[in-house]
Amino acid sequence: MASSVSMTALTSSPHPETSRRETILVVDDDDAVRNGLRSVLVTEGYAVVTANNGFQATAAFRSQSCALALIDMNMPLLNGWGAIASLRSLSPSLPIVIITARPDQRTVAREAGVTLMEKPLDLPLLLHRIGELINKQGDPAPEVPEKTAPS
Amino acid sequence: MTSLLRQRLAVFCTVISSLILLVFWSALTAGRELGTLRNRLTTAEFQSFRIAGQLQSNVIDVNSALLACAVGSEGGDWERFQRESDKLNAWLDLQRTELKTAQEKRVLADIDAEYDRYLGVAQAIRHERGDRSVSLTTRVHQLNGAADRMFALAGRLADAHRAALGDLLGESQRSLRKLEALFAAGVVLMVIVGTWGTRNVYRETIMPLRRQLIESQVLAERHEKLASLGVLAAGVAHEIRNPLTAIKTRVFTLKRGLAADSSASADAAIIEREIDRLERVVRDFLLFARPTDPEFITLTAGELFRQATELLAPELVERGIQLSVNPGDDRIPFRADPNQLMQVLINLVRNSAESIEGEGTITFSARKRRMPLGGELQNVLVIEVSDTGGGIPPEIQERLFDPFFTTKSAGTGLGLSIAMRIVERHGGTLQFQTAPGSGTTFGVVLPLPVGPGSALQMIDRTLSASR
Repeated sequence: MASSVSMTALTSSPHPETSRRETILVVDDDDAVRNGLRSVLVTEGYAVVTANNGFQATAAFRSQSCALALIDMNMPLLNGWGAIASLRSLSPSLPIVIITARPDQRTVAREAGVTLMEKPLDLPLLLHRIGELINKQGDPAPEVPEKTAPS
Repeated sequence: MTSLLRQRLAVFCTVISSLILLVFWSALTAGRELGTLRNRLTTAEFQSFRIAGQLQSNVIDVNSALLACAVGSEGGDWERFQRESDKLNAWLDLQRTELKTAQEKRVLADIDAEYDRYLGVAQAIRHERGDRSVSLTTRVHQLNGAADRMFALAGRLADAHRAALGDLLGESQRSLRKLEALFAAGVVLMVIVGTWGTRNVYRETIMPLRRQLIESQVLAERHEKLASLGVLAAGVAHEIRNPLTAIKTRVFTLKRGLAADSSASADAAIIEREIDRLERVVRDFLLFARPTDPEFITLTAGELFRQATELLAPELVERGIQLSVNPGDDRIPFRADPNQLMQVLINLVRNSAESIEGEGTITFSARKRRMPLGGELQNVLVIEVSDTGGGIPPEIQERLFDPFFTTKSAGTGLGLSIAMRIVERHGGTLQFQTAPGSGTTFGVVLPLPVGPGSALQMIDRTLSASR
């Protein structure tokens, strides 16, 4: 299976915890999902900031600049799209990955030029994608990540 | 469809109107004919009573003129007799032309003969006038005798006339009966034709319309149900996927701390597999309950077959199943969502593969056909997936497309329902033919573009030919 192959590749990297300290913003109103994702990302060597909704996410981003944001769609107060708009207004080139349990967001995300991954997430693929986006962000060349361009 | 319907209804209305007009006209004509016949009969009846009376009164007139002549001595009396006699002659001439039957003519000849005798007596009386040698009484007796015989003949003439009338009456009655029979036959014929026409119109026009109405009602109800099911599905999927994500993340981190060959690692792998299985159920359920709108592009069945073969052949070969393509009309372009149709082919192939025990073959083919689709006869492309499996038992056939109906322990029972829904959203339909023991053929029937589309087909054909 493709997933197990890439998982081996990712997990076999030596001491990832020490090699990466980029901060990732995880925005999800579901505690279990939010904490689970934090646990995975921390294991992978990222620093993690979490938020329950769009407003918290904006506040968190203001106090702590992040390399990437994982954003859920269905949230109270300010939903995913609101959070994206708000974050993009602070940092237009911030890479964003939508993580959603809703089945009908794919077309909208494609039209908006945002990467979308449906829950339950294919974690090795998600980590791979996060790595790609952060590396591209680090590169001086393209401002908008290729993955987010409408296909 | 509608033009054909309009045409049929117009023909039906014309036939019914013609029938009504025909019956109306027949009734009028028959009524008029019957009226004429009745008048003639009444006139004839009167005539037979009059004819005897006329003859008798004529004879009486002649007789009294002759008697006056015999008794008197002036020439004027004889002239009066001559006049009355001429009148009687004229009446007899008239009857000769009017009376038709042999019997009537015989009686008239007898009257003529008797009248001649009577005129003989009259001449004798005239010549013997003043001659006392011949007894006047004798002559008067002779005269009265001749007149009586003529009266009697007048009676016979009337009888003969009445007999002739009887014949006429009989004939008329027969004609009347014939007319009535014809009229009744006409009415019966009209009723038969009317019933037949009405039945035909009902069967050919109204029944299909009724069926369509019922079908669309059923379809509307189904869409309504599916729409609410879609909302439910999205909600349920959301509620299931979040905990699944949480479980997945925890298994992921858990696995990082385990040795690859430990039993705990094997347990974690099982948990992951079961999470995947749950996700497949959710995804199938969503595909069925909330199919996305097809994104149509122009493609050919050949392209789909190639992709499906690439994707499916490896896993099928492992199970001893050959996947072959019988091209047929697979270069005819049509409009569809390639991803969704691929999903249909995958579901059909998986379904076929599961019906094959041991080795077997699954064949793709495409045929252009003309058949009714959506109540309209049109050009369609039938994409077929045939297998050499065990066929579908009759008791299962009815429930084949029911969601969540499955004969397999691991299936969600949504594969064929999803395929059906996708095909329906393409304006097509999903059919199957099965023979227990020798295999099943599923046919994805898709409408082919018409009008401007045929020009498109031409271009595409030229393109694919030059490739």
